[in-house]
Amino acid sequence: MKRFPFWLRAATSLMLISIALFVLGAVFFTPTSADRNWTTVVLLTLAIVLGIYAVLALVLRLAGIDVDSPDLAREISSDDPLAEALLDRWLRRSRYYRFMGGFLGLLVGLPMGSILTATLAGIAAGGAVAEIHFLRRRRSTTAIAALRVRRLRDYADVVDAAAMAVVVLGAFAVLIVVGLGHGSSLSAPHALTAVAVIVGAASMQFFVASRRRPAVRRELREADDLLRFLASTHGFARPAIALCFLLLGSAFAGGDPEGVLAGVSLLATVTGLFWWYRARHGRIPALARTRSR
Amino acid sequence: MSDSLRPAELRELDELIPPPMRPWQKLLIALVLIGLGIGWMVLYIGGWVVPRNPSDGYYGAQFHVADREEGLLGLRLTVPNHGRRDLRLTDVEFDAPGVEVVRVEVIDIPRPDPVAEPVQDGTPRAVQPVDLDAYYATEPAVPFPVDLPATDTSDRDEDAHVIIWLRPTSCVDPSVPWGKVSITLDFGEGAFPPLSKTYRGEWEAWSPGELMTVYDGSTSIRGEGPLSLACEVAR
Repeated sequence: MKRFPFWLRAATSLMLISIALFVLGAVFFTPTSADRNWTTVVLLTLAIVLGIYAVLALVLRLAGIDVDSPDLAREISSDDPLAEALLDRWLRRSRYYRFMGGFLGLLVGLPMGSILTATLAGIAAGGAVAEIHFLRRRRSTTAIAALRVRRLRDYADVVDAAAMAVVVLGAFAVLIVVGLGHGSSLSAPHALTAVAVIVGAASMQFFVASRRRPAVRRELREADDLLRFLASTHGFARPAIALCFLLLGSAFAGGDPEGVLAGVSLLATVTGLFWWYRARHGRIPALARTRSR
Repeated sequence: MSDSLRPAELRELDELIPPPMRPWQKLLIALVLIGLGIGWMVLYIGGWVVPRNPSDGYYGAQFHVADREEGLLGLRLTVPNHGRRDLRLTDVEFDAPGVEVVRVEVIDIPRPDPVAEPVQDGTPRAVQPVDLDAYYATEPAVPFPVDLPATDTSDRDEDAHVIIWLRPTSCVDPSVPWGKVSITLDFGEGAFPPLSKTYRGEWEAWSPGELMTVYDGSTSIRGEGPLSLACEVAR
């Protein structure tokens, strides 16, 4: 039941976009004869109102106004208000960086004709940048550090780790295909890029897991563990994995447009799209529940 | 939510996650990043970053002319540069078994003015007369690179027209398929960025069993495929 507002908002946005497109289409295709002028005026007014709404929504989003974060934080946190405030702060930060990264990726990828891969690369990069705040950390006011050992596997998802291994194996398969004389001129660069992205994502997971933490009370520590887990999975690893599968898809596609490699390419692309679905914001509560189990 | 927290609690949060930026700071950063993104779009579309043209390729290779006296088939490549930066055509590669390249020429084809045909069924139709003489270059073979000056999209006069003259080496199996054509563009010697880009295109559309036709100035020559056509010309 708590998911209802999310779907409602998504449906509202889709509905508004559909109405806006319909209205704009109607404005441009309505005959301009005198007896139909009133229709044009009404539709034009509606289009302007919707346009202003869309621009305002974008400006608010760019200014970091995030109306969903408090609800999400409440849903995934314990009853402790401080833990909830911590998760809310992380969600606002991570979602803002991911949105900005994705938006910038969209702008960069648009003229290059690679919108999806560039947007995913932007989301993954944004999610990773949101976690490197420890580089400019101020001098700690807390004299006590938590000495509990934190391991990477405590914060990484097993299925994600398996997918990362599959990407590396897939990249080697692409290189073998290229070595056998198949593949396009972009196959090897795409495969090597995928490996580099996986290495980068795994390194970031390690940094997030091992980033220092002062001794704080149990509720805050648990919330911090949860946000590290969310950062290591939802934050940047899953968009990075989705990106890598799409890269492998295009790498295999250049090999043999009609044969077995075309099937492998399709499989890699579909897997990439599935991981993209797993990286969506709406998946955060479900992901948090897997952590609490 | 953070408003209800005490200063000591806020400090505790700050230890774990940095305090959030103010909305105007975020908006400023966003606008700067969007400005950079739009700048990239302008540079990329204008062809300043990567050698490109609007179609991100070229118009394909066409078998346009034949030289019956020498037995050569002329393959025409039209390479436009509609970007805002001068380019060079540095290489043309193609996979065409059964033929050899005799010479490569760059020709200058003036853009013909449309001529209105007589009105038919009340609808005037514009046609472009073809001056076949223009395809027979009198210039000597031009070695690569070939300069492609930047031009406006409405002016196609500056397109580079490359004629590659081919002679068949084997007509045993004239139905053998041909691969793709690749052209490579760059910005020139010492230019920044020192990038080159290769575009791959198709030969003239042809499906097995279909007749291809080429005009030698007086008669049409037909062949079942590109190599078959080259063999017919050489006959």
